[in-house]
Amino acid sequence: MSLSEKTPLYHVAGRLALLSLFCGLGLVIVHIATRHTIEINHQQYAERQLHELLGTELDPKQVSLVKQNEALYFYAIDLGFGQSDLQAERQESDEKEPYIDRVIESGRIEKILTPEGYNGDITFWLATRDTGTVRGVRVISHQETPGLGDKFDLSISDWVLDFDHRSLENAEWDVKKHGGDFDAFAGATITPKAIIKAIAAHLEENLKSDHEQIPSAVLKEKMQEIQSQHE
Amino acid sequence: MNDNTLQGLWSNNPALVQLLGLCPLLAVSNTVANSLVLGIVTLLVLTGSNLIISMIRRKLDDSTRLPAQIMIIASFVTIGDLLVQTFMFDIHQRIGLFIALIVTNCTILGRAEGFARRNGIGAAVLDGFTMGLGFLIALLAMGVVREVIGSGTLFSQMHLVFGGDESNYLIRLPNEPFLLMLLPPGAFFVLGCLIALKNLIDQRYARQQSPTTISPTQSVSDQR
Repeated sequence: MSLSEKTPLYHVAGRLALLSLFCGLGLVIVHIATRHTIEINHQQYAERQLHELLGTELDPKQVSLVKQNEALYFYAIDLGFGQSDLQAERQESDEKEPYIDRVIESGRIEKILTPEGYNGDITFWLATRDTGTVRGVRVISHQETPGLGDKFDLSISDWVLDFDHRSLENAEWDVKKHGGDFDAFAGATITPKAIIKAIAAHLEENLKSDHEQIPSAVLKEKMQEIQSQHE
Repeated sequence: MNDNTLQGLWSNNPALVQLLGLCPLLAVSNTVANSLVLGIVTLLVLTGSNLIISMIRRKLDDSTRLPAQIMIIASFVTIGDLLVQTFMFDIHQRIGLFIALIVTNCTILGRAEGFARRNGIGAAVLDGFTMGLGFLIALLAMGVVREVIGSGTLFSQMHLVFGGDESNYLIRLPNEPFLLMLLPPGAFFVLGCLIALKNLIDQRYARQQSPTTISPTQSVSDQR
């Protein structure tokens, strides 16, 4: 086997280079063949998480999602049927129409990335109500240790639901053993801490910059849509 | 089955006898579904890398064979990783890290070094397949024991592998979940028990083969 003394160095290098070329070629082919599907899988997964998040408390049909100026908003409305006060006042007509009775809740959704996971980046959806409470949290992508640091996955545990209805005022944003309100995972503290800290930081940021609430133009548009459906 | 086949499956099982590839074995074997996917990817990588390494074995010398083998193994692992992301995305979300880590599984480099680079293509492929199958079976055995004791279920999340609905596969067992089994200590414990069980079976088998009791003097001379 030991040919190395007789084989010239450029032969050795040439063979390795040739092999790398073949390996690279194989990888490129598989990458091109799978790239599209993998990207779709990622998007679908993120969308599924988002819809699951919005559908947890309200009827998913009631909650609407709008995209405006690169930001995602959600809102849920109660429809009334009949005459709104305004119509009655003007006595325009007796005709009854659906109208937006009240906005049950509204807020915005953001994709948050924290680099402080045990194994690098954790990306998650964070939906916050305009009142300052958390509507829901769902992790989209992560590299955490399976079976140990991945308890934010709803199919594994309910941990992620602990954030619902929490705000800066009504919760201590840390893991329990450091005086906070949230459970740590057995054997893994870094992961939950990273998520908790990222949410808290974001809530604080929200407080400082009084961000846009759901644009009223959106509600007007929705109103027109409902009325046109009615007609 | 001849002796060569049995080696990987039993007498020289990579997980239970050679104790190789323990990192994925201990980390991922907490459910049957995870074990199955990781075991199958390992099996395919092992078979594929043995095939290629055997094919080019005459072109490799002492200075090139290690980098060449690692490159081939790493390529197969990356391809496997991409395929799992394509076809079993939800499983990949769970154990993706460990699929990439298959490249560090010593079983694969061990078979490349110890067998494929010295043997013909057919023998190398068979060796890779049986070694991989031996690893898969050990992984599945660990998965069954740890899931049953640790979670009180069997075949959870199997729908992520085969499609359909989870309820078609899931079996709920009456026992209380015992968390320790899902954590690393539980993995070591189960692995130890499996090795002990294998040795016990071997012992029984050896005793049956030679029913005549061996006197102490004889056994000492045997050992020499």
